[in-house]
Amino acid sequence: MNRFLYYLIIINMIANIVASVPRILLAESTNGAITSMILGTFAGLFITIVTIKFYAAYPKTDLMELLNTHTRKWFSILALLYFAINWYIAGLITLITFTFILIRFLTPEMPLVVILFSLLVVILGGILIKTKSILFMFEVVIVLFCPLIIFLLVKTGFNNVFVIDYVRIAMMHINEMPSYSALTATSYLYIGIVNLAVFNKFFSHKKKITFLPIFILTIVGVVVLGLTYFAPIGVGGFDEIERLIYPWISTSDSIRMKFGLVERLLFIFLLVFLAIAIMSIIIHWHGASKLLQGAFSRKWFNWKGHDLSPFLYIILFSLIALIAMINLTEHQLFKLTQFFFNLLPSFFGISMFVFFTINRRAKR
Amino acid sequence: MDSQQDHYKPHLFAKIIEKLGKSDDLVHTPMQVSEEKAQVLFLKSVINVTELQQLVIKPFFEMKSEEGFLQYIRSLPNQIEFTDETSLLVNMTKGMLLINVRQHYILLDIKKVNTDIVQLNSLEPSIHGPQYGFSESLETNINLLRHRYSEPSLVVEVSELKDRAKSSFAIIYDDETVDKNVLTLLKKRLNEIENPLIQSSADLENYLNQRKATLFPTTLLTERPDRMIYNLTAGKIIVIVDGSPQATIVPAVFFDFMVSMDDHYHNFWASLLTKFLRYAGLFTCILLPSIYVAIISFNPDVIRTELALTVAGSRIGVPYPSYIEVLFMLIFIELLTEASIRLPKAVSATATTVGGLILGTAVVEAALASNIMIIVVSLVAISTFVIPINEMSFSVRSTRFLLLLYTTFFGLAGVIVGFIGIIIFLANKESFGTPYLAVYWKNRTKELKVNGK
Repeated sequence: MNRFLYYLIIINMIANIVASVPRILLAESTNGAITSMILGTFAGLFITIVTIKFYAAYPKTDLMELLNTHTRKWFSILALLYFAINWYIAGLITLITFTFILIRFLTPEMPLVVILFSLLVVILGGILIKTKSILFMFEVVIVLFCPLIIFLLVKTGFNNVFVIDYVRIAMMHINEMPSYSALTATSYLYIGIVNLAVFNKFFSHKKKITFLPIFILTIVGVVVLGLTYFAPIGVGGFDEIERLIYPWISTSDSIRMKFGLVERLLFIFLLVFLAIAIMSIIIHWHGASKLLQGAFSRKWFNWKGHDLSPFLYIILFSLIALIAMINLTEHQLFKLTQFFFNLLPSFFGISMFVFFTINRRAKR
Repeated sequence: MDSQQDHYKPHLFAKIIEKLGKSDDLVHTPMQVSEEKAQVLFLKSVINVTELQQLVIKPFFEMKSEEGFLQYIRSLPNQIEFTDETSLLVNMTKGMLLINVRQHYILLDIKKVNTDIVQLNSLEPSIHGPQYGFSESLETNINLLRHRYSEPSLVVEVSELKDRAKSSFAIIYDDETVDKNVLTLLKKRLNEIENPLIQSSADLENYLNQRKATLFPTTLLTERPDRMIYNLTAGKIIVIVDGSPQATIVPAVFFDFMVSMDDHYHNFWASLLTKFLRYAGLFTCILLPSIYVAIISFNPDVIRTELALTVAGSRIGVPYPSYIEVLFMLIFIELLTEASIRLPKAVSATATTVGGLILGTAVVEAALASNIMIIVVSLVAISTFVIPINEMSFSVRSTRFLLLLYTTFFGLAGVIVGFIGIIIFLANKESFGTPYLAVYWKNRTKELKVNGK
């Protein structure tokens, strides 16, 4: 498996450690979070395998091309529009969550809109660059930040604030029926692979699904998921953990580096995960922009031979983000996120249907 | 060419004398022994006179017949083909000798070059590597490269720029490893250059980029023959302009600029350490001024309490916000660097002493900047010099001002977001179709290949 494929999956996993996934999982801690996590892992791996298998049959093409060549126009426009909206909302949720996190923990005096603007400038730049460049950017960011992330996760797991007994208490709830929202939140961790819709153009090799890559992904997924759920419990205790709005940020703030130049782990944690979150937003919004470009003909928006439609889309994206930012409260954002996650099965259903349609038409 | 016979002044000679006759160094010499005649025309200042004597004049008087002399001249290896009058004129000004025997015109290359002394490396010195770089003569430089890289697949294509100076330049590549797409693109771009005057490789580089405003270099300028060979084996192309002791390497990606040739001459751990130092220097130089501003002005709680107190203590009396302090000191350091480049060697020591020591202390005593600021700025200045290629060091120096601006507006988050912005910008850049920031993990031989992946 190509290393860039791992990046697509892993970036999404890591970005969601800080965002809403742990909060949803912890909220369901007495309602079968553990069983849902186990089931969700299988569901996530299943989706990963099916998606890779589908795109493996069409190397060097992307979803837009496949839909436009193999299906009818109305179908392809509808499907691409649906996917684009999903991609956009996924990015939007991460963006707004991080704006809230920044104002809570890093720059409380700065207006929300200014924080949003500071993130948007770079994110919009990221949307406009070539799709291939995004892969190179991922690699550099992962090489730079991965050692820090591993350090942070290890530091969280192995320190004297972490009490294993709370984890044991949490494990007691293994015999409960899985909860729906925890299940969807877990499978959301594995959703990074759907970005192949845009990036498959650059994977020319036949992707064979062998045992090793799936094994690696399972291990990484289980470790990330385990840390996401159990680290806040181990540090913050089991009973009241669901009350925390940003469980992971609070967790990292309880850890102190006694001899470090930066004493509170929180700041390193915030900045590193901010970088990963920006990657995640860029990948989603770039995808949304490309899907929209695939859905609508570009001839109507040309200026001196340059295609201006991406600029139109980024203006649209930023406007919606701005409006959402001004109007949403943190609680509403959480509800929206939960609602979005709960719609995930329908997203997979529609994806499968689209894959199936393309496969059937392509064979004809 | 013109075959009309003219006894005293052949037709072509008359034409050339008309064009070049205003110069006093044009010499027209008829030679005659009994019935045998020949004439030579040349510019005295660019001709190697000893060679002229040896190759042309002496044999003429020793030969039995005009026919024999003609055949002798024709068999000389340094004979040059010429097709039209313009190229002939250009060649004459470069040091060619025009010989007329009967109706025949022969152009001989016996130019005198005074710039072919090989110079010591001055821009990229190394400890273990070769100490001599290039000369300022194209032929000597090609000789140096051929000497170091005796591979029959090495191709040297010499042609002329279309500007007024008519400098020759050579495109050098290994035919087996070269990326053909890059080669075609390079030739196309070289053809498209329409600038009235190009004097050196560095000058040429600016036109190869085809963009007016570029922050990061996409071609690498080097004076080290070993670096050229290193890149040549990796399938890159070298462009040398006559009269310039540096050569341009295309394509060049970001990591090429971070390689020092000493990396290959040291042992593994030593070179790993220097590489680590180099990248640490790179990040220090870009990030440190911004982090200072972010921590002082936005989040003093980030660093541990003792350190925060020390920093705050050293800033007592500094009358303005940290970003002005940083900007002020950075510009000061830039001025100092710039001054020590431009000054004569004898004076530059004074500049550094006055600027660095005396002014540095005075600034702190006058409470215009904090002690820690001085340390930060010195660290940043030193880190800049760790980057092996000068061009990249200039680019990085400019980049850190952009990041400083972003941080001044947006605080600590701005440092990281701005840094990601720089990565995005670099990742999207291309040098002759090669991605600028692509990381190669394969082993060295594969990694070296530009077209490997």
